[in-house]
Amino acid sequence: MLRALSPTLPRLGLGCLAFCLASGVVLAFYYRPAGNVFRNVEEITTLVPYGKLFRQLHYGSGQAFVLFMLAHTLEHFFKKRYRTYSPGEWSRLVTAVGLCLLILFTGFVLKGDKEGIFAGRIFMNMLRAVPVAGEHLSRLFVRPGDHFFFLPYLHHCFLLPGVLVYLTRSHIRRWVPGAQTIYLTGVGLVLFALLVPPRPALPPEAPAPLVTGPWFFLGFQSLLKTAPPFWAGIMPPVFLFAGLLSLPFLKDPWGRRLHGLLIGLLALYALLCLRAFLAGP
Amino acid sequence: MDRREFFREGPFRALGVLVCALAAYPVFRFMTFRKIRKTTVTFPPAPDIQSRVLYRKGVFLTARGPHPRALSARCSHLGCTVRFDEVTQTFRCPCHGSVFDADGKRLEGPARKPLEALPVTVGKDKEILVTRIL
Ligand code: FES
Repeated sequence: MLRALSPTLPRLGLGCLAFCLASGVVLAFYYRPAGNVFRNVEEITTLVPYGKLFRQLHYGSGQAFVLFMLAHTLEHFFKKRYRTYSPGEWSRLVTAVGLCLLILFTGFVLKGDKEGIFAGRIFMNMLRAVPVAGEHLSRLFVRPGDHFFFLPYLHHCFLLPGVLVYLTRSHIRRWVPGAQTIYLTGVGLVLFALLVPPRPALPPEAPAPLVTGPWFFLGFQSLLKTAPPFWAGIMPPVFLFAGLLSLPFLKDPWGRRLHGLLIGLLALYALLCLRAFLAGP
Repeated sequence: MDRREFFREGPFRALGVLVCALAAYPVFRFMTFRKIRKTTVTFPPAPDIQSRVLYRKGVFLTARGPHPRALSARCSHLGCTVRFDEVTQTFRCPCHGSVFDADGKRLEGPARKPLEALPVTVGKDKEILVTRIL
């Protein structure tokens, strides 16, 4: 069963990516990253013909792509397949995982609701906590003021997907989905888009006792309650990615130890996210 | 790459790396430049806001004491907008739970600094003007 899933997951993921890109292009004809973005998104959902369908298609396919891709990466990681890749290829793939999460995150910001705006501000201020270059680094991703959504838009629609496809181009070729997979993925996603309504969005000025970030950010949201931003929001992902990147370079027993440590940290973070999801961050 | 090739190509490669590094600096500076923009938020004249906390465009105006005081609504932790809780007379952040008293002083939570106090001026029709950085 698991053996059959192994080659299916990345193919399903790429099928989802195709639908995500296509629905994103359609949405770009109405979405504007300036002015009242919240109202613009609401109009897409309630006023523009088939807007809700395309919005949910984009949302569902994006989430599914990242979930399939994470499952595929975890499988590689648990089976220690990084040993069969060249260090360069492994580094490109690990970077691609980070980019996928960043694309999902910028999409969350671009909703333009209270959650999105707060997530963008938190990200900007967390980057500022990086010593020396933090202030400049934050300006590469989000800027306060009237053009708050412009840079996340630029990253979400052009820069990050471009770099992602470039980094994974040779890897993708191995997993190109067939017509049957594309068809199945399409049916599943359209059903999702038709049956699942978008989550109710909070207007930016609406009062709210609790605001939460995207699901993969919930663990950080919990950590940020107790630890300073640099230690709670910057160091854990940096350590995780540095650990993953260095795996192919380490010989046993150090390689084995780092592998074990990373499994422990990933499990801990997953538990933290789950707890925050169920009981609030 | 053999030795001869190395000495033929090496300097060009080194020059390429140097040129890239030199070009990266102005590119980075251009991309990260930020012009400081300010905005002025207008509130009604002082007698109208007695003993109330008003909120407008990222600014809270409180009229406790003889002079109105303006506080930034940005949480000093990571920048979410705090809300004023009338019952406890505190500012509360919905993101990570920091709490500030009515003067903006930090009471609990991960924030380390108080809410930023903003300069207040009075306009020619006695309206209250508060300037904040965007
Ligand atoms: S942003 Fe307010 S407590 Fe974190």
